[in-house]
Amino acid sequence: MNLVFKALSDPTRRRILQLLRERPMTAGHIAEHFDFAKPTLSAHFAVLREADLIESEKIGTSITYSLKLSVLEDALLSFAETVGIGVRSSGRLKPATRAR
Amino acid sequence: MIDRKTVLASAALIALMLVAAVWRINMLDDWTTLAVQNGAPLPSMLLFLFPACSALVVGALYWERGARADDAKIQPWRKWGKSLSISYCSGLLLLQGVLIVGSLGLDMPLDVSVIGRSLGLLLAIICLLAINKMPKLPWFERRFAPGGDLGPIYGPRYMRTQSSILVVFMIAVMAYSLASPQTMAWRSAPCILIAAALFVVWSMAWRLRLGRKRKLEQLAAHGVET
Repeated sequence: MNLVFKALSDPTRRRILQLLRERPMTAGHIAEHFDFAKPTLSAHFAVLREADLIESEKIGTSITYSLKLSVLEDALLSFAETVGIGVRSSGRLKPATRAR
Repeated sequence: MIDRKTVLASAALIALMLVAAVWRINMLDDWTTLAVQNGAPLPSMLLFLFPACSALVVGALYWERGARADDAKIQPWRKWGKSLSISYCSGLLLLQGVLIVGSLGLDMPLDVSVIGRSLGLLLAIICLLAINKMPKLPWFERRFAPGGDLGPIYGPRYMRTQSSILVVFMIAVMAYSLASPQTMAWRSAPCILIAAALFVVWSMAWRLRLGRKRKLEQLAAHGVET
């Protein structure tokens, strides 16, 4: 559960989950919504994967990510999003918000 | 969704419930009424509700065994279905046992209705945890798929919403059962059944809508291509 809280405490990772809520996406498509370098995003993917919140499938040369949230985790994500956990401490949300 | 071994184990538990129900009803002076310790008399046919509910769940899980999906997708569902069906049937068998023991009129130091309530709560929590985990399992097309295939976008979305509503519904039922007095708890059964039936109707209608939406999107995409 600690891993889940850690994963959901970061606004960027929450934004990734929100994007995956719409549809499964490739790493490239997700990266279009952020101004980060690819290694930074890969680190976020790794945290999400470790918490078992997303799953990846390699199709050809690209990796497709899809959501893997339980009902409780989904509720926690909505709660963290509503309360805005980690938004003040992290100034890195701006690019993602701008892309929206 | 569940393998033959699990079905056989569940069927054995269901058979045990049926035998217990028939045995208890045979022993009654008035075979229509079951008098439970410290409680209002109940219809004896209630004893058959336990095997019926178990058979419904196990049957629904077994029916999906021939689903169109590869083994990697089915495997987590088999594991999930196995733990759900065995724990559900065992829980209902225990509940039925408590009801039968309570109706025997034995002098017992413990209040049977309290044990029954605790067991019911435990069973509800097990089901709640199982439903909570459902959206984590890989999506695959069911054998009975009104509205056609939902695909990798609408399928998981449908499952997520369905699970969320079921979890909220179960929490509401649990809260009501815990808050209401013991003699009143049975009265909620018709409301629960009506709510469950409405849920099935809504679920079907929503699936049809999503299926239509997907078909339209596919047609539009096909039109753009040509």
